[in-house]
Amino acid sequence: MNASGILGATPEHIAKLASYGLAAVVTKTFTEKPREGYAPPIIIKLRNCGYINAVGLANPGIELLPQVVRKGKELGLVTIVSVGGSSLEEFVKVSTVALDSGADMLELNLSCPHTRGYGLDIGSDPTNVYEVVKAVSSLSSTPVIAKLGVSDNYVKSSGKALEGGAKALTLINTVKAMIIDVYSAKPILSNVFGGMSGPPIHPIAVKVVYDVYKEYEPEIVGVGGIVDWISAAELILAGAEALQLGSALSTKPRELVDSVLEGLKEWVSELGYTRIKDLVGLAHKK
Amino acid sequence: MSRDWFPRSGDETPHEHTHLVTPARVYFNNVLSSRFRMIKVKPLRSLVTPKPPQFFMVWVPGVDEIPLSVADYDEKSISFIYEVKGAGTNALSKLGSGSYLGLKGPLGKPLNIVEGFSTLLVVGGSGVAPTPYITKYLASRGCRFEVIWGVKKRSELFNLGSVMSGVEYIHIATEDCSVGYCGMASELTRELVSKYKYDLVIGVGPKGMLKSLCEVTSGLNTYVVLETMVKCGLGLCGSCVLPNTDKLLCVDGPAFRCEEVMQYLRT
Ligand SMILES: Cc1cc2nc3c(=O)[nH]c(=O)nc-3n(C[C@H](O)[C@H](O)[C@H](O)COP(=O)(O)OP(=O)(O)OC[C@H]3O[C@@H](n4cnc5c(N)ncnc54)[C@H](O)[C@@H]3O)c2cc1C
Ligand SMILES: Cc1cc2nc3c(=O)[nH]c(=O)nc-3n(C[C@H](O)[C@H](O)[C@H](O)COP(=O)(O)O)c2cc1C
Ligand code: FES
Repeated sequence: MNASGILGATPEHIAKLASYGLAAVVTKTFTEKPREGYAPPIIIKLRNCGYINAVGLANPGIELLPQVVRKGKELGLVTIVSVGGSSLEEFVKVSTVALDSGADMLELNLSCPHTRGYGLDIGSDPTNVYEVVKAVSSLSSTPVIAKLGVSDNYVKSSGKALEGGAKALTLINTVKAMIIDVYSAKPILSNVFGGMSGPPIHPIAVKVVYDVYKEYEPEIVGVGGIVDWISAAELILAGAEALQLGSALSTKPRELVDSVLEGLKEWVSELGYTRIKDLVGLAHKK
Repeated sequence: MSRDWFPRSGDETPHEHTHLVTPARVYFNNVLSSRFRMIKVKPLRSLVTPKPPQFFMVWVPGVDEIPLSVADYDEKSISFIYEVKGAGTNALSKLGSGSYLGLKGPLGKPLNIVEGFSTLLVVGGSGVAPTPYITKYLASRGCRFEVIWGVKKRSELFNLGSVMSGVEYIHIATEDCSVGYCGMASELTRELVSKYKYDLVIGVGPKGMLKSLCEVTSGLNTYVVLETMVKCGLGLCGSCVLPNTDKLLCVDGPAFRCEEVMQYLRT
């Protein structure tokens, strides 16, 4: 599946994602009210091959959410709605609309690092995580996934999310970062700082997935710096059962999806297994 | 499988390179006409050679990043023709020689221009911006071409010959009938395509003009260069999506066949 925030805000975006050959789609993080997001520059490639973004949770708000979900279902895709909020009430409100629209799962964005009052501002406090996940999980039997990022408390927050009723965890979101142009001496992003994604955060994602799997063995959706089957395989060995592609979708997305799937298939048989499932968390075996 | 061990994003293939912000220094930034200005800059690191109608995200440090089509390019410099509209282009117009800006690109898909194609290029409004580079490219591909340039009034015109090479003939169409053909560029197009044969028609300009162009050239090999709100230029944010299609202007465009976008042009 795609990582939240790569398209996914309109029905047209869902159609585009469908053309990439993904098994499931994740919407952009929706908030109750529409958000314009930040002015450009919002996404920049880094010299270290990563990307940095501060989009500012731009989304059309819950009014358009039903159409977006409908499009995903129409195209026969498992449709996961990414839910954002700056308060418990907002999370519940957006989740309710998502559930009423027929979302197959909800992914709670408790980890966006660059929008004040949202995401990581909430997700780095394990007590908040517990409360939000619990409130949303109790709305219905639809699976709730908590998306967490890198903070000092990620193992504890993961535990609290599971305790609150999360069926799975998506790990990780982008990592706080900044880029300055050395000629004009100005920060490049209009928001000054943003979140880093792509290859530079991959080893961090592997560690977070590894640590959390070791502690709780939950179902994990691995995301962060996947650019080929090898980076995907590492996350599987660390404990991820499903994977999301983010910034790498900026480069030949259809070919990327095909080559990751193809490479993983060959890898599984090379190691003498028949199912990817048997390799999940294998790096923990003594 | 051994090739796979070199991470996809680890090698600086040209495609990857185009997503970085390349610093550039301003040579000059001049007025061309009542409506247009031209800025010529020196990239401080080599760029991937753009192919029309590719564009760059031009970063005005501390202010904005705006999509602009390439008006001219050689190994040492790149130029853009632009119209001051709002905060971003206004800040761009204030950059004097020696100032720095950033360039992300070339972005978008090149047009497939077959060698020797006889081509009609129809431009209107700020669509004139990429004209010099398109004609330069057409000439380099051995294509015969004609240009129709439509404007509302005379004062918008500037000497296109001074910023482009190899143009033999430009048909000027003015809506106020002050110079050249009296009427819209699309009307003149209708007359020309009924008399002569073109292998390719390219339209650049406002949506209304492109819609008429598609109508009057129906059945021909016509591409229109569109504009939508481009925020990232990388196919990630989705702001440039053409409503009711699954097309992202920044990766699938900015040039589209009429058939692909007729529904969008009608809205
Ligand atoms: C692929 C592409 C190539 C372009 N090439 C040229 C060119 O060569 N020369 C030229 O003069 N203009 C070109 N434009 C239009 C130019 O990008 C806008 O005029 C410019 O972004 C306006 O910014 P602003 O801050 O000055 O004005 P604003 O006050 O932000 O807006 C003024 C108007 O421009 C539109 N606009 C604003 N931001 C964008 C954006 N990021 N993308 C598209 N439209 C926008 C707004 O909808 C509004 O109508 C191009 C646009 C695209 C999409
Ligand atoms: C442009 C962009 C926008 C993003 N928007 C969101 C978002 O709205 N919600 C969210 O949970 N994560 C968002 N993310 C984070 C990604 O979902 C993902 O966690 C992160 O990019 C790491 O994956 P990658 O290295 O494969 O890109 C965004 C990332 C990018 C690059
Ligand atoms: S501008 Fe962001 S996807 Fe095209």
